[in-house]
Amino acid sequence: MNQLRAVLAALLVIGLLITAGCGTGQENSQSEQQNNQITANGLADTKSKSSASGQQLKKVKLIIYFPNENGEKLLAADRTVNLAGTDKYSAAVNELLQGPKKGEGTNVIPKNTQLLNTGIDNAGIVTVNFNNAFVKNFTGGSTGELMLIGSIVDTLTNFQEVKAVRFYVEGKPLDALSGHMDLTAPVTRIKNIL
Amino acid sequence: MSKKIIFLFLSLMFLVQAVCSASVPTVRDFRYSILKASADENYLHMEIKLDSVNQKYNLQVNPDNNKQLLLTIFNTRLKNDNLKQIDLDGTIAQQISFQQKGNDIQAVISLPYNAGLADYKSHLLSQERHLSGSALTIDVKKMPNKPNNMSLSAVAGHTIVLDPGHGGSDSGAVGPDGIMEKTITLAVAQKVYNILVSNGAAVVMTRTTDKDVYAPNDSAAEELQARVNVAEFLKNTDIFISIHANSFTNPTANGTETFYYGPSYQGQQLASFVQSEMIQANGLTDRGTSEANFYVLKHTSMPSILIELAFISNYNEESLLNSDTFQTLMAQAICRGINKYFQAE
Ligand SMILES: [Zn+2]
Repeated sequence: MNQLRAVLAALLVIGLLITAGCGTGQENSQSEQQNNQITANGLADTKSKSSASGQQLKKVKLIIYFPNENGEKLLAADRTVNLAGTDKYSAAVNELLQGPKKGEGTNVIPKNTQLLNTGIDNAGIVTVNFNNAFVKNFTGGSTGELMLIGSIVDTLTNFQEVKAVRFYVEGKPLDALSGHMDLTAPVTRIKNIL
Repeated sequence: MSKKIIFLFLSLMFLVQAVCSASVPTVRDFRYSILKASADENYLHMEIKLDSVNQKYNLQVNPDNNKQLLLTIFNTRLKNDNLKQIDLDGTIAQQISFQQKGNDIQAVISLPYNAGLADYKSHLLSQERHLSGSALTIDVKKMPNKPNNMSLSAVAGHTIVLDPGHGGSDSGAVGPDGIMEKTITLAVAQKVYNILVSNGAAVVMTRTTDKDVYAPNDSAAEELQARVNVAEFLKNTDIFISIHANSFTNPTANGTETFYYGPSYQGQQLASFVQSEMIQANGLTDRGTSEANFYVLKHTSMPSILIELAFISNYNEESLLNSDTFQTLMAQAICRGINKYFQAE
């Protein structure tokens, strides 16, 4: 009889567990996280490590931005990049070109866009030079432009020394993308979409 | 002994299953009434009784049919078969029909007019602390069709430059159905032109046909400067209004937005008058007014705004943008906003 009781108690526990496990199927939708923080890129956590092969690894933490689903603002995302063989501006833009991971926002980069090179002058103006796909495959709209240009400019102006960004395509200055933003002058940080 | 245990186990499992299936929420009841919004305006009030709390649902214009609102109640069963199809008042809405779609309930509210003219709101009223469920309420109102001959006395004598975005070799953004931004912007600008001129304003358009303002295949900056020049070369342009349709990579992006150039207080004023009239008229998502470094705004010396009517990249808003009713509605709203701006001056 004791044995029976023990078995019954065990079954009861199992039963309760199963009951607790049967949810109603209502999951809470994950609310989109707003991120207003402005943090200097590349300052913190700059470490040099030697890899097994003896090659120098220079890891840097970055904050980059992707647009939210409705194209109203930019969401911050963290990246750790290796600066071996590249510069930090190119590394940051190339992270943008790879697009957001799940939950980081939506992709706004025109198809097949490639970064050709970047540079910086004494006044803190970074130049970014893309291939032709950047303009040719851009699909338009004020919101599309603001989010594309904004994500690049705001990512790069996270580096303290960067004051503004001038856009180039195939080595030629880009004055306008699709008829909305004024790109004739270097673009300073766009704060109202952060 | 072992038979007894098996029997007990089976009955326990049965009990567990019964508990589980009872927890699937259901729709229990539906009712509606016509209420007064004002002396001469009614709205339709609908109440859907649910036996769950914090029920997840979604209400939107049916992307496949402009004359329907689509309500989805997630993970819910229809309990009452009488609810399958219910006739409504016929003027604000014709009918609501409930249908089980997989795990969800889909309710189609059919309207006798384009859903762009429907002003709809929904709320979930939960009964506190009880498990006795909640009520999902939906209020629908048909926005009044404003007459075409509008009286806007404050625009008289003012010089207004209208800039239909893009044109000619530049189609602007293109919607999923192939509708081009340049076509919509010209159609709306022409309607704005007619209303303003009939109210005594001096109106100049940067283009009146499907063409480049500077030259075919010109550079984007040359093209934009040519539009600015139209406003700058006139003697006393009071305001500059550029009309566009928006686009984004994510096709669900939606809503109406107006841009102005940062340092201009008057530009900001003009933007907010026009934006609030547009939102009242179209009931779309209010993306608000924003300052932006847009070429035609930055390089014009008078108060200027750039209007993004709706998203041509959004399937539903693309077909709204392409409809004459919606274009007229937006043109009238823009003109009311301009009139309010001059009134306030
Ligand atoms: Zn446009």
